[in-house]
Amino acid sequence: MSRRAPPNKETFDKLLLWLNPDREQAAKKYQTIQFRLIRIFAAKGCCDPEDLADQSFNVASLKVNWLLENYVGDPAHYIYAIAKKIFLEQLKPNPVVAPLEQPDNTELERRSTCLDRCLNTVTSQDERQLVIKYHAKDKQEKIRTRRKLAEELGITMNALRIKVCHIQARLRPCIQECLELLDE
Amino acid sequence: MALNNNDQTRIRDYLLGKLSEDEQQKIEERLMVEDDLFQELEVSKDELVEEYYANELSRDENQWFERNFLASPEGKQRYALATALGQLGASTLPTARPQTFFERLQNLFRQRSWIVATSTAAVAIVIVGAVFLSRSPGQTAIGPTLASNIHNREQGTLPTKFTIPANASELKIRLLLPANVPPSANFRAELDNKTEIQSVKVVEHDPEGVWVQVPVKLLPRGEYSLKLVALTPEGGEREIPGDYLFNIE
Repeated sequence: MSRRAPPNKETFDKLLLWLNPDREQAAKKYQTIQFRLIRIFAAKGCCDPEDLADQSFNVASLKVNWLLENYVGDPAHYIYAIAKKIFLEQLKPNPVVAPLEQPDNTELERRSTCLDRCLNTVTSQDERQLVIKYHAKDKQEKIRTRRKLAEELGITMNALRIKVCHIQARLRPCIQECLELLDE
Repeated sequence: MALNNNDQTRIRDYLLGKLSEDEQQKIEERLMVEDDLFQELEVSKDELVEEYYANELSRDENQWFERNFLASPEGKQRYALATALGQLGASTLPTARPQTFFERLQNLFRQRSWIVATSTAAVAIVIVGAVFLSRSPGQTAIGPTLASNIHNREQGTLPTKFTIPANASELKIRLLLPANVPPSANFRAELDNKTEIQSVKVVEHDPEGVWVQVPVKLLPRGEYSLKLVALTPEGGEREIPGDYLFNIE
């Protein structure tokens, strides 16, 4: 639960204005900043990065009149600075983190079933084949296989990494949802 | 701003906790405003989770990554995908048992014909052998006979419950037809698991009913409905009213 209250409509409108005078662009900017904060603070092991991002915007809203008149620069930097302070506030000195359990064969089967389902539902046939080929080999063969795959597609290795990353970004929520349904 | 040669390494070091406080802050400030760098972060997360699962990180890297990114909800979500994808490269399976490997090969053989097409003849022979071996314990189980819920609703019948035998790889289910279906019709069937609808094989039919065969892997415990469509000789389709409901226990 957020410890800072969300802004009222008037303040929120001002916050959007501060992000960009064009309301549509402002909404996009808001989403981009929010998404990046969530991803960065997840990388730091934050267990509730969404709440941290919301709180950061709430704090910025409190100062929006000042920001509108005085702030120079990209608003993303300012909101990041707030987020970092909030993150440090809630940081525990030596957090106890349970080691990640290796899934057993039953769990692997469940995940594999969900992967099959999601490959069939959220990817095209070409994308499906690409992901399967990309992951089809083990350590020794992996690099060679991927290089060959990039050559076949006429793209750089980096473009291939990004392409697969985008497909996997669609698979992840699908798999999570599928696993939750299997749990029911 | 375009990425420079060091950025890929910096992002990797950032995710593995190898940067100083100042360096971390600088990279995070850039991540907030540089699209290419942020993209690199996303790609690197996937790759590191993959390496973590394949035990390719050093002990320290492993520990740091586990205590930080993998402790977040996003990290856990990425790990779930990595473990599923890890099975596509069979030797990365940490606790692989022979049956699973054969099942994987069987699936590849059945569903991903492009892999088979690009394999050498020798590999194909091994796969065929593996499929043969893996099929032998898997049998086709005869499942319940179901009537459409349109016809049994009046009687207040609940979905039929069925437990799949442990050695079954396919389940054969009989769907009773209503009286007014033309005898010359063929059929197609769909399985609805509440998340998605998938076609299933119609293996035979007679004037009273249709047999469908469903791979057991599509039937984890839960509630399902089958939908039947009659295909007329003129090329038309007619949906059989109602659903054939059943529960797998």
